[in-house]
Amino acid sequence: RRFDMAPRKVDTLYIFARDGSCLYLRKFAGEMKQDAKEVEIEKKNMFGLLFTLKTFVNSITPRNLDEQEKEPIRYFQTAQYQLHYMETASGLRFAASTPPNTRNMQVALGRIYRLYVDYVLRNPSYRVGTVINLAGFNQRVDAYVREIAG
Amino acid sequence: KNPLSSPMPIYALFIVNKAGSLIYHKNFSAKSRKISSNECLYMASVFHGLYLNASSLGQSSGDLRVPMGIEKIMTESFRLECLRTLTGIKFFLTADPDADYLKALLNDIYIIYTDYVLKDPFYVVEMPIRLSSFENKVMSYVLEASEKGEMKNQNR
Repeated sequence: RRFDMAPRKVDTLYIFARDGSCLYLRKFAGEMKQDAKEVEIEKKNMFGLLFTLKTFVNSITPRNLDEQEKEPIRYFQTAQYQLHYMETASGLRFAASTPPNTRNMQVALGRIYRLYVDYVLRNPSYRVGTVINLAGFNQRVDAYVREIAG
Repeated sequence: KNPLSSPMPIYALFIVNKAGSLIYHKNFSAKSRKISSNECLYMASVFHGLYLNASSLGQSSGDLRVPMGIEKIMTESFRLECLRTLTGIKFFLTADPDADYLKALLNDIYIIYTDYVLKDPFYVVEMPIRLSSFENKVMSYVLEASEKGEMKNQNR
């Protein structure tokens, strides 16, 4: 698959576990200082939105879905931001917010998933399902986000 | 040109009032999955909630004077685009993912709504819309938009 070099400025990256717990929340935009309570609220609201959006999309899809099949969401957009989404087979959810009208980020999210596999999952000190606090992963994500920002 | 030869790329139109209730629904594609009318009512309200949630997540200041919610959803099989008017009515269309002409069509439908629904002396605002003149006009605009859109796609 060809990945075009159009700039994609990631403002925030979220990783959620299947149970709704936020494993990773990283802001790249910089200026906004949020207190801990606001951050917790944002995590819950974002997961809630994504969860409800999934239910909505599965109900309104024109495609006839099989028993367990779900309708994959690529992104949604408001006037202020665009939220790209990718869910892995294990139920891990990656979401990245960018400015509106950013090009498709499915490949980029896939790359970030690979970074997760290589630098989080394969890290012997990391326990699956817990909050990710690993310098190696942070560095790689930083570098990748900078790379695709153009 | 046989209307049945090319599948309709525009699937459905929903109109939701200020309170989040469905006031109009029309299915344009015979081949897309049938959604029961109860499910439509429910889904319209769910979308209304989603719209507001998406808006509050984007506004860090918490100023909810004019909510700026979901304008577009892209999935693997379909796209959804929404127009919210200044009075809080939401028009949204589901269509083929390649249908990139929906914004203009939504604006046209809004104008048809103001001409055929709001200007009807017997129509009560925010109530369900049951006007054949409105329905017919919308149908012709949707057909025209899909035909023009299909021609443009074929020329690519």
